[in-house]
Amino acid sequence: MGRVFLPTLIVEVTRACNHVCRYCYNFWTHPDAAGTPNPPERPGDLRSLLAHVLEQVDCTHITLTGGEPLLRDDLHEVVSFLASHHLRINLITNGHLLTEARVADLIRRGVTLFELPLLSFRREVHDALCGTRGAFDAVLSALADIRTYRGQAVIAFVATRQNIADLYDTLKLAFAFGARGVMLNRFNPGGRGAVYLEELLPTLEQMTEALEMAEAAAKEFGLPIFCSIPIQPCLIDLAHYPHLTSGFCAAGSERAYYTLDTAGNVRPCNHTPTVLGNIWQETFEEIMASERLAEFVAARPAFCDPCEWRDECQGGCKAAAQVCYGDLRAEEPFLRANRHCARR
Amino acid sequence: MPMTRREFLSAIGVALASLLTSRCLPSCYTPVPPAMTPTGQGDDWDRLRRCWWDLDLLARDARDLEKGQQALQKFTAEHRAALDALVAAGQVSPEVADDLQVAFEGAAYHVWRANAPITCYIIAPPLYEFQSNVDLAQQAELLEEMAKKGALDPDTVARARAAIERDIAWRSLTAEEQEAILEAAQQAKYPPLEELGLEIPASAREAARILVELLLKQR
Repeated sequence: MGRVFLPTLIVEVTRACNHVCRYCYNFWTHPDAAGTPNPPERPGDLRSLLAHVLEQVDCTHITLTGGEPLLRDDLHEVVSFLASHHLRINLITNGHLLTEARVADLIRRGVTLFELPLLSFRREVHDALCGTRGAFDAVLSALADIRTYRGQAVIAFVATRQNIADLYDTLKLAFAFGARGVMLNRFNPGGRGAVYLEELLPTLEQMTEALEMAEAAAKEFGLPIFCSIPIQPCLIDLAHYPHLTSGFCAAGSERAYYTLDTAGNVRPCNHTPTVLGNIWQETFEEIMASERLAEFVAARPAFCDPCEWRDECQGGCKAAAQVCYGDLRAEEPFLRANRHCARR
Repeated sequence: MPMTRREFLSAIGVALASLLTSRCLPSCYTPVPPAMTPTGQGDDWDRLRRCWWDLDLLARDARDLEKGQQALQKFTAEHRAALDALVAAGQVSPEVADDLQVAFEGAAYHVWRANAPITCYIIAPPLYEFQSNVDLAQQAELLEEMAKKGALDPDTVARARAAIERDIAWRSLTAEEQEAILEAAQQAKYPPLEELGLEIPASAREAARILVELLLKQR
């Protein structure tokens, strides 16, 4: 059995969640996915699964996500197990269940980076986007505790029409609470988010203004800001924002973030519902060599064919196109809304 | 958490790579003898050395996704091949060769990762590190500003403020005192400074406080 090298592997440890975020990208929260069975989440099974994967995969980082990972009673054991394999562990959480004791315990067990949403400096805006009262205060409390226990945290700002004007002050707040970096994610519809596409998708002008705010904040505070959802170069020239970093879809490359669920299903990334294979039935090497992955990687909107950036950009997020329009080759929502502005 | 042998060797590799890729040669100020190749070796030692010396080429290639991946694989394979040849020639034991490979893989991965362009979605290092108490003072100032603007929970703000003050105090400690705190923190919940039995002079505490107030323009 050949071993494969992956910098990062994403593990969805549960589909359950205690928030109802309007921007949620998890495909199983899409109304069309209602009624589909969730993968099993029996304690012990996940560690067996991870052991099986780690026999085949050399990776340096594991990202634990969900749903809300802290809803798993055995999360601390999973973290200890991964730490015993000398992996760096990122935990993506909404922070609502991150009590001081849990922060201390998780850091002690080996969580190296917490990723929390911070959607506004205003409580009401953050809570409305999360669909949950108390979400804002929980995030700030968790950030304070993480710093107290010498952990590291980054925040994710999902840029929507409803909060994008708050970006600069939110970055200030993140910096004040000791965030080590910011993921500036333009709203990328998928899952429940697709339902709110019209009211949440920022305009091109709003996104451009957000990047200007982020550039200023990155310069002023020295805070690394990552534009984590691809921004099409034909729509916005990122060269104007030298203090921001950005990237494109890495699916299929060695730097892809393959996503694993508790049943052992492997997907090209956490935004797509496309299952490449199951780790109990095939090796990771076989899954990475599958035709399904080749099709996923090759998919690109016809609109992009004449573009000089087509191979790097690939049209943006094909998973969003897939979830919103049922086709990996469709123009994803941000491109579709702004195609008339594309520089060709 | 204690460092494993593998982590230690990898860290050695990273440290060496950091020096080598900066082209910092140990010959500027102190006379040193010419680099000696162990007796009896030939091209395979040179091959091995070349892998290390060429890490800056890996750094250059890493800026391109495809080229970087190929270069990383090529470098690690070339290093392994040179070691295998040395093992076959009886010049290095297999155990030492494995350790050397671990160090090199740590170095090569570090160089590659530090230079590769970020992918979408996943955050990548380097993360923010405060460089001075001025940075911390700026955080404290923004905390007060945002606490008012965002009507934040006073208890949360107090904890965040305490953490900033603690970081400022931390920077005032000696390396030995910091080490003692880190050891204690690994044992249990982060303890108050008072319980550590450290001899932190009152003047140091006062100096930290003055610094905070000074930089916040409260003095």
